Amino acid sequence: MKHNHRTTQRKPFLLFYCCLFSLFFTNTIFAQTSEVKGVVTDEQGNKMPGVNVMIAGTSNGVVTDIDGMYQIRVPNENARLKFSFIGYAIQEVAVNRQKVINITLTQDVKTMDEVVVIGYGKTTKKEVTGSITSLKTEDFNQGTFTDPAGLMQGKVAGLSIVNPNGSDPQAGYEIILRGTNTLESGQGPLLVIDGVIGGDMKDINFQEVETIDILKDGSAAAIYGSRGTNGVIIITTKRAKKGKTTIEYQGLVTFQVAPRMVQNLTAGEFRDAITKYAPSKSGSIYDGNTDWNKEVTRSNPFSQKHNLAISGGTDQFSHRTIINVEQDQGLLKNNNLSKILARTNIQQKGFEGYLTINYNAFYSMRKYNPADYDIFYQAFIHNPTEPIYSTADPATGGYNKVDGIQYYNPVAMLKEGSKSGETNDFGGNIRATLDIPGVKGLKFDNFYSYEKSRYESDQYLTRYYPSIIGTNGEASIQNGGSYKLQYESTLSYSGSWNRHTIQALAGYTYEENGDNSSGMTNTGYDTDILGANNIGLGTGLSTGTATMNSFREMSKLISFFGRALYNYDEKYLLSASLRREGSSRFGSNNKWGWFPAVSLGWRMNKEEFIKNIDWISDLKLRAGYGATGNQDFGNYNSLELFNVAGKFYYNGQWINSYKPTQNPNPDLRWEKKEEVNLGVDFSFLKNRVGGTVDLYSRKSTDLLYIYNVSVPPFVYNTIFTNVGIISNKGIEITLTGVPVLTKNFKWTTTLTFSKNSNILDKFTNADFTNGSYQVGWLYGDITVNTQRLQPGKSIGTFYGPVWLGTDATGHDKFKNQDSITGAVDQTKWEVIGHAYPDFVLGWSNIFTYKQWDLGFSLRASVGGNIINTYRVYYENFTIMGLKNIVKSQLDHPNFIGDAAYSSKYVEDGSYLKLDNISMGYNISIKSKYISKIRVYGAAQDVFCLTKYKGLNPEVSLSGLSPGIENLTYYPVTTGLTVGVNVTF
Amino acid sequence: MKIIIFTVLLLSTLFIGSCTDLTETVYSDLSVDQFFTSEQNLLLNAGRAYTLLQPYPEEQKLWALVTVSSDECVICTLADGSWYDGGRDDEMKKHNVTTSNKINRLAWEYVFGGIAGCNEVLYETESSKFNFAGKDKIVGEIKVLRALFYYWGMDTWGDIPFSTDFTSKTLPVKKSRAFIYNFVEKEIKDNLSLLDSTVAGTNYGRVTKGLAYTLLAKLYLNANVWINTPRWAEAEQMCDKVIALGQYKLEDNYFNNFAIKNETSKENIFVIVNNSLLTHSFYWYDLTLSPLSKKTFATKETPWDGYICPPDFFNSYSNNDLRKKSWLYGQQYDINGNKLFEIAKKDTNWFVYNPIFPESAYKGRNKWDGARMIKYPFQTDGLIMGTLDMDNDFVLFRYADVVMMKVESMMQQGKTTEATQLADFQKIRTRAGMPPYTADQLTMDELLAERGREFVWEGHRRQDLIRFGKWNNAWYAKPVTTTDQVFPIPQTVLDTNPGLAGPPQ
Repeated sequence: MKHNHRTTQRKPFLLFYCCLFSLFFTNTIFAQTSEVKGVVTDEQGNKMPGVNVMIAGTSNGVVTDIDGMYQIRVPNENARLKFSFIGYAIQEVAVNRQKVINITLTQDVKTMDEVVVIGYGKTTKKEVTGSITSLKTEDFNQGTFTDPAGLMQGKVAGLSIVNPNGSDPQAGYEIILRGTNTLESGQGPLLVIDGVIGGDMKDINFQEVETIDILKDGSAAAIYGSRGTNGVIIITTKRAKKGKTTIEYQGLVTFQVAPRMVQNLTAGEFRDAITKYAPSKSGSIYDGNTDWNKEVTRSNPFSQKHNLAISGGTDQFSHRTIINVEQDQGLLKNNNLSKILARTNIQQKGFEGYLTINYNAFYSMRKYNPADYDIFYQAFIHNPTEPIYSTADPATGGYNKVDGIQYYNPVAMLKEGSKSGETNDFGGNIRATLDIPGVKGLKFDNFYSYEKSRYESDQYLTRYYPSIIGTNGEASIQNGGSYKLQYESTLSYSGSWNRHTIQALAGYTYEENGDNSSGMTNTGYDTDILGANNIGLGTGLSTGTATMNSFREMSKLISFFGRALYNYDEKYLLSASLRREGSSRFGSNNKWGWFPAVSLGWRMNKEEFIKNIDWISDLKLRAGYGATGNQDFGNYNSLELFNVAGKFYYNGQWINSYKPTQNPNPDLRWEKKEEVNLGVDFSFLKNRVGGTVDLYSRKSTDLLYIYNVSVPPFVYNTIFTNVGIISNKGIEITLTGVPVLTKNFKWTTTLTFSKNSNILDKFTNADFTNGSYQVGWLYGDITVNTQRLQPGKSIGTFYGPVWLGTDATGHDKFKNQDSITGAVDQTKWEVIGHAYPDFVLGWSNIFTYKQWDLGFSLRASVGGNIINTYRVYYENFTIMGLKNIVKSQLDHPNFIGDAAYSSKYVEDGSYLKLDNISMGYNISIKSKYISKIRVYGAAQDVFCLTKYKGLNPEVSLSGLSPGIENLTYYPVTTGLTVGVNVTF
Repeated sequence: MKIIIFTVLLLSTLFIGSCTDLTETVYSDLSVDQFFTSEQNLLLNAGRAYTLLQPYPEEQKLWALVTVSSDECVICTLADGSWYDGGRDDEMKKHNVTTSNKINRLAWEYVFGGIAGCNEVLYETESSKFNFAGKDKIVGEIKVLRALFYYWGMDTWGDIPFSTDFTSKTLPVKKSRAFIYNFVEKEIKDNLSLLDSTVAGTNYGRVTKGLAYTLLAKLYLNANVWINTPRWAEAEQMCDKVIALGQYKLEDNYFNNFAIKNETSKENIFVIVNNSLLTHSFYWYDLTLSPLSKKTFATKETPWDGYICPPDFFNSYSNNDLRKKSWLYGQQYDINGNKLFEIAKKDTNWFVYNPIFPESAYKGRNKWDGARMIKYPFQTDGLIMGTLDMDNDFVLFRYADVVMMKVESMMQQGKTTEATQLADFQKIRTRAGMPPYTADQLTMDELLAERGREFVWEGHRRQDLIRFGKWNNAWYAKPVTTTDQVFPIPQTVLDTNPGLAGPPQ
């Protein structure tokens, strides 16, 4: 009631001011006004509604109507009209004495006035001094993706986006920017989604993304301080817009075809191979003919996605609300995913337009039956002459069962094990921005966000599930959740006088993150019917084999920051920022850190000596320095904590004993990365050809790692602490061009190139003297570390025996081979490969012809090595018998040795991939209800050219064991999509 | 005006919100201050010293190192290449253990992790403000337990780093074997009076005077090797001290000491108490049985088929020796007594454990080669879950050893005849179904062989072979060696404490 009272009271004042203002304004222009009207069309002659028509240099303007018509009063005949529409080049024309001005807008070739998001603010492309790549809707890959990262795959130099998990509908992309800059902390870039730091890509629909800005270098990322080390990806979704109510529908269906599985022997080949090369194993020939891969996979997995967006409103109140529904079948038979996602964005203005409030809310629900990757592995290794079913042993439930360590009937695993889960994410945020009255350009902004995620999953393995036969069923239930609270307050000023432009910012943030989980398992059920829905029925509670656990944790992050952007005449540019940040994760003595950054730009095209060279549209030199940190690791590492150490027998009963859980490290401090970046941005021939070249050198010091220490004095032999130094140097080149631009045809092309070299400079000091760490664990029967962390070498360097060929007896010959054991002592191992590629290339193209468009993008990785673990273990006759082998063993049947790790299996992992290709048609509709229809077809993961003999050369490159293809895998398929977008 | 007030209010939130408190809440662990708030918790932390003892008989810990390197156990590479494991077991067998050997490293980590853990417990207990009846005894127990870890360290690696102060963060320096020897001796003697003299249900599995005297007896028995000074008389005295406690006696049945419920044994002096659900370090099923034996013991997990009896050691038993039943060999049966086949579908291939196999099988044996250890009987009720953890308490020291140590020290003092007159000594023979020894029969070699049969796989064999001067002899899969009697300090340890590469200080 009070509020109403206040509003009504203010009205007379408002009215008064308005009258005064309009009176004054109309008076001054009364004498000279004249009216101009006209029609705005596009290159095809279509009328364009919604085009902004402004009188240049003023804020006066109108918008074209549904028929592309406008009508505007101009102050005098010297006035100029400015026509702008998103995606089209801005046009300015002088009015002179014309009464009718008809305009044809041409599609935009990117200009330097594009908005670039820089974190807590925006600037324009021409003013940017850091290394930032900005992608708009039209730059994105076309097709269908599991999350928005797919939109930018191959588009950004230096940003490696790989998909090591094939076509698993639940898998995300693995993103690395400018090499590996840390050992133990997180390697993924920081994600900022609509202002929410550390958001989850799964909570947005790729179709709703409007722009993605990637802050690559330290000077750009330092404003995010502690989490900027691996770069920052800022995603902005489509926002509320004023205007009439618009409904957009996007629908697509996808079929997956051509799954790529490990090439093993068919039943026929298996029989022949045993008969011919290993007759002693004839006991392993059974009567079946089973294609295990086929038995566990769907022939054509099907997916559908539907997205409905409603937007519109007034200047005072507008919204955009979307609902997105998705269903995916995985290639694995029992693997499914369905999603519902709803988001709304509301924008409201108040206090005479001084206050803008932006509300966001979302809810996302995912239900899934996750894939057990082991089933693909078991299908690969399973003896193809074994039948699927057998009645020999009633305990197996009708499935054929042959005993072997980690050897299970994959069809039984598929049918007798079930797992399902559900994740519910919801969140909301509110941003209030106040234009402080009286001081033009001064804004006060407050942002509060809260997100919560809950998951529950349960699993039931029946009494016939192969690995638990005899336990009469096993049920487990896992529950958990997390929350994320973010508060942010900034005061910003922007203004210009004479030729000086300044943008300044000061802010504070508080963040809190926490999660909890609990779980239970039980065994021994009378019936399999109830699954995990009555978990207490199992006998495990009484026999003591049931388990129960729970866990909870939290962390805090607080920071103060400031930034100033200054330019003189848009020619000399300066940006400086400073962040002071504290994280609860560090030791009590070192919680706070400073993260400064400075960068400079020089737009040479503004200088007299270049201004007149007409083929240079833009030329800018940039130099920047920035310091960032990393705190992406577990909580509580600095503390001395106690927990259960196991039971001991005391006074006739078993009681828990307690121990310190870790070597506490009260000195734990920030891992700090410093980076220097030099760049040049250029644009020639009226922006037809453009590009960016960046050179960077980054060095991380005080590297966090689990270092070895002496016991005693320590209680455990490792401690999480800061010791080493790692550096990455590289070059990134992006070239964009519009080679063809005619009335009807346009070809846009983008080429990216990046090369990074990684060196682990050192990780020893006076206290930590361990000179080498073994990593790159090869999973499976051969227990060996394939890589070493060695000062002076890159991460991902493979060490192993050098393979010289096969000797006359059919065994491996190695360099420095021990004459008795036939093995090579680990001290005599040599460098036999490097996981990281020498360079990567991306090439994407968009062709438009009238209403048609065609796009494709290729990606190449050149030079990295991969350990082909399928060959390591399964390219020999020794293992054949119980298990199947890879087909390539038949290429050199003279080899009769065992599986042994060596350079023989380190292969060239270079590849060229056609990630996607799409073709669309925009139907011209003259309908009152429908304004746009687009239909398209797309193919994803079309082909991959490689010499690599394994499954997918696109292996994981993150972590400390890059370049190893896992035995347990999810196959890649080609996805064929058809879709339609309709705007009402 | 209203807008200005609103602005001021909004701006002020900037400062209200400006908290800089980074205190984190720990939910699922206890902070050190929260933990040490009661006597009870002090005791729970002290109990950790005993849990640190538990991993002793694991596959890759101290027991494995000293057992596989002796003549009573062998790990062959199987025909399918498994158990080659990069040659680490072969290094142990051939007494050629390198600094990078994994089992040597894990054995070291077991012993020194135990020492560091005891240091922690002693610091927390001794510096605690809580004083209660029996606190001295706990400190005494843990100190003797730490002395046991040092005894193992000195026995296995000779000169070793020494540290007893948890608060010191400097790297410990290497001390000579003699220094450690004197420390262990003094530590046990200093704390003897604090320990229980009697055996009761309340101190089962705990350090008592029985263990303290037994350890001292071991020290003096091996003094000739460790400090180049024979101390046979003292060894005999310490055995007499154990006997004088009157708490221990030989079981009539040898196997009572190893039964699933062996806590009733009057012979066991110090055991690691196990419970198949609560402890996870004793799983000899896994180590020794072939997967084919799953049906014999109705186990769910597939055993690993690694640790077996070397043929020459198997031959050291007379056929009448009841202790030969420590081994599983010959035709195998399922739990219902039906004969087992090697492969289910081929009815002719009977599954027979073959205890005698050629030297060539060391590099590729069949899965049925070798007798398997069943001295600790396996549970056959089918209730064993998961990793085949056993209920049998693992015997570290027992009275029969004290008796035989007494015999050995008497013989070394020229009292062989008196030794043969010890009733307990001859009972060890007779309960095994063997005739008593005469003084003539009882040579040092015979005593060593008898120790081998009596204490097979109990963790004493390496020490015995060294003491009797037989460590360098050839046996199955091992040539005559000239290498050190101690194992090298692992490379990872040298890397973190480079001073250990030099001579002791």
